[in-house]
Amino acid sequence: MQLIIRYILITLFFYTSSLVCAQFVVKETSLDSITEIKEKKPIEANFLFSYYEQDGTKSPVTGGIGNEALKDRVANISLKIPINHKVEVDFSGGVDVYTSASTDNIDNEHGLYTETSASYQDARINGALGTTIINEKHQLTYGLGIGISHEYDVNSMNINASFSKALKNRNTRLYLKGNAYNDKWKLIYPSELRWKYHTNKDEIDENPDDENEAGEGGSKTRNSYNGMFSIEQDISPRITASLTIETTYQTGLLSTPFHRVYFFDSNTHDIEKLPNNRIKIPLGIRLNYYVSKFLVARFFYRYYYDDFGINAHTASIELPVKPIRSLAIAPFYRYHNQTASVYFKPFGFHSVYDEYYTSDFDLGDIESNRLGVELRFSPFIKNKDGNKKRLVFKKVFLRGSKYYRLRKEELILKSYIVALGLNFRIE
Amino acid sequence: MIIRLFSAFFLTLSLLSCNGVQYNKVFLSDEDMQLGAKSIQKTEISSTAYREGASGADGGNSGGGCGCN
Repeated sequence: MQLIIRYILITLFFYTSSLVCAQFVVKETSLDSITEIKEKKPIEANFLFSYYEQDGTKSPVTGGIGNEALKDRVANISLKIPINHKVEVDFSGGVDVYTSASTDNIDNEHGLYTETSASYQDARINGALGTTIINEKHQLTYGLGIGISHEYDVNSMNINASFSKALKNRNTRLYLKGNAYNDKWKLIYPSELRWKYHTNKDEIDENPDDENEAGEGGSKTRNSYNGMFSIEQDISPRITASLTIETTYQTGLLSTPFHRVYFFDSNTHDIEKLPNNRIKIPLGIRLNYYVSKFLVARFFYRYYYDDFGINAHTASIELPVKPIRSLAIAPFYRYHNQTASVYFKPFGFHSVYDEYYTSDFDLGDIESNRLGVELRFSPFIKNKDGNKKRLVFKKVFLRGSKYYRLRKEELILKSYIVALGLNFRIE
Repeated sequence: MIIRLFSAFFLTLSLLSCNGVQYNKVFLSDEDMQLGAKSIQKTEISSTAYREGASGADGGNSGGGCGCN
């Protein structure tokens, strides 16, 4: 860990030093107008709809075996409203409605019952409000935001703050962002284990919130603190790149109370148990290359480390092809590979004497492939009404992909997602 | 090893940034040259984060606010 931190610091030192050096060498000849807001910006309204469907055979609700079929429909709206040249307000809100065969088995240990339960379907609503203050003279922006979400077993709220600065020549941009989440989980246990946790609450409920002790097992909190630092650097007139370092610290209930675990040395089973603290450190780099007016190449790589024992590598490539100015067709491919958490073992491989255990394959040794394509259509529409405000359609996006998750070359989950995005402006 | 590669990559970028190139932003301000995830990827990144233990540094959420890991 110390070695990692040392190398990160060395990298940042060299990089920051050279950025400072660049300020003296590179002339200010930028034609960029990204952060210039001399004219009042229009209001932007974006709509996003998506449909997701998955099918798998390793549900953690039934201990690492069983149906993981899931369907999720999302509708989301986001608004960006410029108040004046210096202040913008952002609002977003949405709803997810999902059906899950996996959570349907919370009350159905062996998946024997064919009738669906109340857990089969749920909805999640979310909303966020933020403001951005722009200091054009010093090329600084400050942001503050809050967000909430609600679903049957999780209530969440978050606050965030951000800062960004474009350096003098605008070839370099720095970003800092901090997030804090407070999630409250309603403790819903598998039906056959409720007697155990409702009567022996003291054994597992170390920090109970005492809100609903007699009902569904009360609730517990999970707090997450996230810090992000990113540097974007234009390397040439055709190449730009970024480095992003994040650190996330989570504390509280990190396991899911209705996930089952089965043991090889006991006839009984239990709920998933994981430590109360977790640190995650992902490092990501992006590099975009403008090949020609017909083609851009977008690359992404991420290394991920956490103290649950997961090390992961993720890489993706996207190639937007623009046969005409208003149309882009972007095929993309993403590959992911991760080692298993030290707390993970498949169905029936854990010992009842283990301190922590999970059979959730999300934490297992898996690899995944995602293949898809994005279409973007941006018609050029003139505003004919002069000063009269009107809603103007700007862009439509359609993005779809298929996802395959494998473990030891066995296909254990597949899914697909289709998303439709509509962008409007009030001019 | 990974960290060393990161270091080497960004040290190279750093040296490149000192070469005094006068950048024309015509190509760099192209929509597809913008760094970071696109808004259309929001649900795709979320669904992926739910199914993998690793998340973050990709424009998506890296913990909190949902039932993900």
